[in-house]
Amino acid sequence: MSTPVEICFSLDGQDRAAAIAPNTALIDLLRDRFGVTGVKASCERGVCGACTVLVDGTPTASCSLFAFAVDGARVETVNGQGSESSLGPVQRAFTERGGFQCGYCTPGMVMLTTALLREHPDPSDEQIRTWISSNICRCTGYLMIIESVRRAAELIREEGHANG
Amino acid sequence: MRMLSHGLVAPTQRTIPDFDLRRPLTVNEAVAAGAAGGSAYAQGCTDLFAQFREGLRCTTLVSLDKVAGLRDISYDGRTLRIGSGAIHHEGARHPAVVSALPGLAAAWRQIATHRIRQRATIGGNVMARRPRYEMSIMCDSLGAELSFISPNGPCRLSTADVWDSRVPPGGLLLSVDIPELACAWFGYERSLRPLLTVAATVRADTAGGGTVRVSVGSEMHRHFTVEAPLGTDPMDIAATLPGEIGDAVASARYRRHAAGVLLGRLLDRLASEHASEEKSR
Repeated sequence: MSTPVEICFSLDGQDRAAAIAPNTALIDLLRDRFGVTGVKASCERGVCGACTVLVDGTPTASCSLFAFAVDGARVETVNGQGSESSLGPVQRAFTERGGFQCGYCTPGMVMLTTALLREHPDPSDEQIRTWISSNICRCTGYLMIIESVRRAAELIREEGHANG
Repeated sequence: MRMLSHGLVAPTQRTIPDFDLRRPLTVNEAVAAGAAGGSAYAQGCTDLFAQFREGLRCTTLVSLDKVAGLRDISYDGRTLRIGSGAIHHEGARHPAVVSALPGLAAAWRQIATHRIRQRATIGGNVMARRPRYEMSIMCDSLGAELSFISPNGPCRLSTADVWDSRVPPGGLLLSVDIPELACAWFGYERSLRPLLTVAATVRADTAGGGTVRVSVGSEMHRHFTVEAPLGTDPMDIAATLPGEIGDAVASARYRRHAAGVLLGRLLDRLASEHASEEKSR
């Protein structure tokens, strides 16, 4: 058994510390240890993006990153984007525009959209397509997802959210 | 699946074998740690995780994230040096790359997806030796030299050497060095992916001649590279591609023809760029 690694990081704005086995994937740390089950495991090869979280603002497949790598980093997940009673603007946009069908890809899409709108508050259609094509919606409801991203940009502008 | 207090969870860690973690600060420390049998180097980890899922056994993981200098990119007017740890997103926008080879910068911006480009590295892409990854095709066309250091000292290999498993045991890729760029042009065509990808590098000489070096790949098998004097008909260049370029998906005849057409388009683009430059003078 290898020597555990001590890590400290920010998880959705809360300071966290953990002693982990070096071979722990970030997604397992988030789901098993901290109960962040909004982060979804799917392909587990970094391809589909259902497990996307933001690490220091960068969209990252948490199934393909070792947990030791987030020591000192800021990790944001869909769980930190709002609560059941108060959804964040990106989450509301997805519900308003029907940006999901089965919903399994939605947490990753929400985080990808959050990162996109921080970098491009008023994204072009090409920018939206370029970013969103990073993740896979197996229901193929891409048109509604693209509309949701546009709506999220509107909501953030209208409501003056800092979005991060 | 396991039932925890917060519900059913899928423990992906189960598929990744236990290993000792080393986090060196220098290249020499990294190579010393990587010299042990069963070790693997890790940078962006994008492909490494896929390898673990495919059964990679690793007893020592050497994380390169704290090793200084591996992400550096520089251009001295002749050679473009790209550190193996350069992330695609940064590399494709780096002023040295844009200035030395605008065609490479444009091609580099198109590979993979936006999310993967922000995490994966050029070193991981080349060392993975996966036909569907594109940097090997570009590097071979450019005649890139891959600079390694191993427990036995430094060495320089070609992209083909990496594909032919000639990397010494414990070898760590330091940089991708693209030489002779003073009068070089690079173009890339991926519109026929997954069937076909064409990278072309033109190096002009002072006597008005030069060479065209063409690498042709697909998502199904490793790429092939051929070279011809500048001015050779693109279809004739493509005709020299080996028969192995054909497979069950597309015949060698088809791929040679398509490669010739795409190469012709690239060379037309080069001629058009030259014409625009002449006009603006």
